Amino acid sequence: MKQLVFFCLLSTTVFAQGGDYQVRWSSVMLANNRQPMGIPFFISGRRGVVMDKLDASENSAQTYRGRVFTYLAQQNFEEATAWMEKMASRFPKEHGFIGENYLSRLHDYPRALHHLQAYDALTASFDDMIGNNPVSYLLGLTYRSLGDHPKALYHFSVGIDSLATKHGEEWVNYRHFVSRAVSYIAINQAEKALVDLEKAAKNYSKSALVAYQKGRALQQLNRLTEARTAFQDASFFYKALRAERTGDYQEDDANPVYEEEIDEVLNELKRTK
Amino acid sequence: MKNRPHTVHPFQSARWLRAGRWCLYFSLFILHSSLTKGQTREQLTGTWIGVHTELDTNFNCPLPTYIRLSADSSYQLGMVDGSANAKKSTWAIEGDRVRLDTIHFAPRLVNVQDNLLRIGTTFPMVFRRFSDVALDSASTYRQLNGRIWQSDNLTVYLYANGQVSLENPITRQRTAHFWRLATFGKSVFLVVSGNQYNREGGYKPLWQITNVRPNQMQAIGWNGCAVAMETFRLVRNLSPNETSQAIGFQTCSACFQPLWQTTRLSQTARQYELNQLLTTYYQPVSQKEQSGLLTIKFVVNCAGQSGLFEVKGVGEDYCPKVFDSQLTTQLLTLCRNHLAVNSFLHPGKASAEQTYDTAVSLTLRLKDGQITDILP
Repeated sequence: MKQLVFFCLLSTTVFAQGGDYQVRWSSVMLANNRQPMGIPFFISGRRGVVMDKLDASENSAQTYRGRVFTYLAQQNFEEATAWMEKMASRFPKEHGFIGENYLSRLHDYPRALHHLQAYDALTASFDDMIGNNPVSYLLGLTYRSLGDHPKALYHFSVGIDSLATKHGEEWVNYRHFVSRAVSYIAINQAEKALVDLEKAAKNYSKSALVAYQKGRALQQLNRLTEARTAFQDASFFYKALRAERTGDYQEDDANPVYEEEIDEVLNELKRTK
Repeated sequence: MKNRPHTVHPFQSARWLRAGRWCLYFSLFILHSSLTKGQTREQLTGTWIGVHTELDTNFNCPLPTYIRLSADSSYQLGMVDGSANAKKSTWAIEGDRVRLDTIHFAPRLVNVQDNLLRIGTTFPMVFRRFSDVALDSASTYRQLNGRIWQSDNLTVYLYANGQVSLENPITRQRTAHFWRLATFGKSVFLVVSGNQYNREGGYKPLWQITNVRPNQMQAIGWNGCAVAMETFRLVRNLSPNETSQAIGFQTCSACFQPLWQTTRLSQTARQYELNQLLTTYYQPVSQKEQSGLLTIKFVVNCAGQSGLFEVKGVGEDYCPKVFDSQLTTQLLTLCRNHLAVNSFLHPGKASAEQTYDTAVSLTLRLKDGQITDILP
């Protein structure tokens, strides 16, 4: 239903608005208005937040999350961060959600680190989940973004090793292996990166991201023929994925790879041959 | 037979309290009934002309449709300008609910107040009660055509070639569209639709003309604040050489809300090129205090024209901040010259295929004047 409303609203600004379209659109809007529907945050604009005050005492954590999403969608960073900080003091378990937002939405790594550490400290002996990732993985990404690769490797390993020991390596998200491999490459330990990338490839064999990082690791080891094959694989998988998907797609927002980037490296390798 | 123990009420007036409680329930029931009571059939019966749909607290989309609720329970939803076949069905009041066609509205969602019909609370649709005012469309056309008419809230340039300019007399912002007269019942409506390029792109608010004299005309419509009878004075005749032109940037859609149409550049396939452009054209302004988030927003219309540029910044503490003009000017220039163009935003698409407006948003994280991140 929410999606229907969203697309109806979007289409108000799309063209070919003849009379038939207007009658149809009015019918749809009448139907949308038959219930006092809760407005999804991404289309609420100012309506969703106009009455709310930051000091509203009876608000739940969910209400706070809604406000944070709304303000982030509107790119009102001042309000979004004010709500997040207020939320952290009222609901300590939300440190994880807040840390993840500072990391992935605002790229504010010092604040992300502060909140992720606070979240991790709530249950010191347990690697809690935040969304689809354990907190250790997000801590690893934060340290990596701050340029501290040894600490990033430590935290990536906490998440990967505990899961691998308990359930087997096939249960580890392949992106986690890739992230650790990226840190190994950054500190010139390409051999270790290759081990991780082999494991990642076992868990997702059609990954352009894994093939690209494998190419980088091999390039660092000066195994240029193998590197070229890996980059060619990456290019092939990237194009195959592009054909399969209609929208813009990144396998992993934390480790973006671009088609042009792969082509450039391939051209460079051709020249050096 | 045992004597029953005498019942002792801990509180002597408990019976009265119980009675009082029932009184309270009854009062609440009466109050609830009065609050939930919907509109009467008499209030709703009639023809309602579309005003707008309130899509946000500060954003309305004009409604060119009408609703007719007849006493014989027939229902009609159609276009005031007759440009489409009306949808016909039935309507009814069922208890505290109103049914229009197959749509059953929850209680209190269809309201009439001061001759305005409001439907819904999520995206309220506003209609005004229609009163037929007989006018001759041919003579009205002759009076209006080729002239400029001005009220306190709007100036209308009605060109003989079918184009029209709408100007805000205070801001002087002028938009270009197309106009025609439409008859509805015995009434005549001024219908403004389309954009500066063609008749597509939606409708502007409808004006029902109620009176035309050589130097003045009156019309009912949405004046930007309320549904009102506006008096338009004749300003002057337009010369045949004058043509409709927008002053300032104009979107192609009459109902354009940037928030819903925003393309975040970092989430497009163009991100690699964006990175390259920033690396090539941005010269870091190395100053300690130039840190935080900088957001640049703009709109590119269906014809590839850009406008509505907006720059906003917050410091590392997320408080509003004005960045050095040397820094913002560079980024604005980059946006104007390299990003606000269809070849970047819609690569591989011919200009003629581009039929909608695009709002663009770009947020950069800066540290001491250096770009460190592009936010999603």
